[in-house]
Amino acid sequence: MRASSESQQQTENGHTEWIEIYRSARLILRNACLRDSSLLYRWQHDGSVPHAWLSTTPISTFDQYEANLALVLRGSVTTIIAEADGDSDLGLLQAHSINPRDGWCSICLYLDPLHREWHIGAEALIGFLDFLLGRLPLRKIYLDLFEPNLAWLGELFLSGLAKEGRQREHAWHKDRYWDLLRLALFREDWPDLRRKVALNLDVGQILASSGSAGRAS
Amino acid sequence: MQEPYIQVGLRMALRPVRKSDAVLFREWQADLMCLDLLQMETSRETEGFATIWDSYLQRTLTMVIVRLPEERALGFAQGYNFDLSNSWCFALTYLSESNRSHQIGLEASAAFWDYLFAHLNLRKVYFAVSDRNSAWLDAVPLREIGLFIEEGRYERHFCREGQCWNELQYALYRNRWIERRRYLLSLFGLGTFGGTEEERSVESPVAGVATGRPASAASRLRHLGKQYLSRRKQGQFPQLMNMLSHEVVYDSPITGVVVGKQAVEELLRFRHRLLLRAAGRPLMPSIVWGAPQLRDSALTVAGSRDGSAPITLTWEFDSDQRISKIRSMGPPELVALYLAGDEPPL
Repeated sequence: MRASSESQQQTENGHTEWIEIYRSARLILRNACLRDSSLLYRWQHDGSVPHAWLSTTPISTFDQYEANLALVLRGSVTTIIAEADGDSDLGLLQAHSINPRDGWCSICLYLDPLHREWHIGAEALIGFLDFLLGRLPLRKIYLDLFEPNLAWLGELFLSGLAKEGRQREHAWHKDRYWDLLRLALFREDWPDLRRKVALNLDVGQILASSGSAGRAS
Repeated sequence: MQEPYIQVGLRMALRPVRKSDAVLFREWQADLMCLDLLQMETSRETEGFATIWDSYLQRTLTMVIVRLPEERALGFAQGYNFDLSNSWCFALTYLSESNRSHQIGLEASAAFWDYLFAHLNLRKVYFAVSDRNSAWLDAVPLREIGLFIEEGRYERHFCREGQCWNELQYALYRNRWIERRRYLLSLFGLGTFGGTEEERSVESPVAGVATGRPASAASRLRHLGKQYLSRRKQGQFPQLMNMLSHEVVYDSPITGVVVGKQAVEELLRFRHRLLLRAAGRPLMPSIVWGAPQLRDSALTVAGSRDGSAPITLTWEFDSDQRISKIRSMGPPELVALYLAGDEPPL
């Protein structure tokens, strides 16, 4: 269950553990931490769709899983998408393979089976991209998605991303192999795309005020 | 103690990486970073490097490329990001700056890919190259024979000192490798699978033949050895000349030791056998090949189909009598036919 009060965001030694990087009337994005291991384990073993985040061996003990998760969290920017006013965790956004030297990183998006709506994916991605481009010296961001999950973002968002790669038959899921698509966004194209998608989502005002600031809770 | 070589070709051999190779990788570190081939964090301190090195060896499958007989290290071939659940990995080949050569690079890559497909249950191998470093793909017509499939072209992926390059991502599929490997490996005196065409097709899960994981290379070679001895007793000599080698190749990955003109002369003497392959059928049934001509430092063979314009294939040798260039000229349909074949015409 997601912690929602200030007291639950403090570790025993009093350090703040959760940081919100985006908040709107509908969603928040907060950093994932080891306390989320049960939730992340459940999502990672979601068999309803192929997905491409936190890649590790699918069969492991929970102890091994947690040990691996600690490494993954250290080497990535992993955030939980959660309801702003409710108690539900909706999905995850993760930036990995961060390459500051060449100025790019890759993003994985996952949505919980009960919350697979394009406006959730699109709004969360706007908040996440704002955060990444505001905080890191990135020129370009890749988004890796399996074909059936493209609907999580909506057509407008997808139309603004360049389709640069298709890794054929990349992963086995259920009864067949699935292609992994690699979409790309350059920093200079972001303001225009952001404006269009935000308008379409009718969250322009809120997004403009939270912007890429990111704040500690 | 003799080094256990994993693959021995004409210009290089692959040996397993050792812990003591850390010193080599430290030497190559800056160059690897420059080429974006370093799959590990870096450390200037020796102690820090040793820790990174251990974890690096555990995460990757690395083989050092050496020149024989002096065993001088030239670079390494490496598989990384293994996903054995989905049967793929990434691979790279690196040659240090003073040893950079398309031929050695290609030979080492072919040897390593063959090793990967023979020993691991992989469906595909990815590799990524910067478009400023993609010329080696043309050294032997790899792209033309359809060995690789381009699955990604990442614009301005690398940026250095104000200049940007694209990254090209290619995939090599097991079935394509099985179909075309003999053409490539015979150029380098390499081989892992051995076996008849039928046996090879059984190893490919994409061939549609129900099969399990391939048997280990050692057991296959033992099987081939017995098969060869049995055939020899019966007076059968299914054989194929390896144009680079003094030796006759008997359906098994025997590698040559003598290369160049001597091998070619030997090859010309046995020309009547050249049109036979191990499986006993003509190499290129639709093209009639003339007699190979050896002139100066090049071997040329011309062929035609139904009196059409000829196709000419030329192998050029360097001063060390090693193949330096292979050229094919002729009508596009014949060149395509030749390139689509899984054997060179000799």
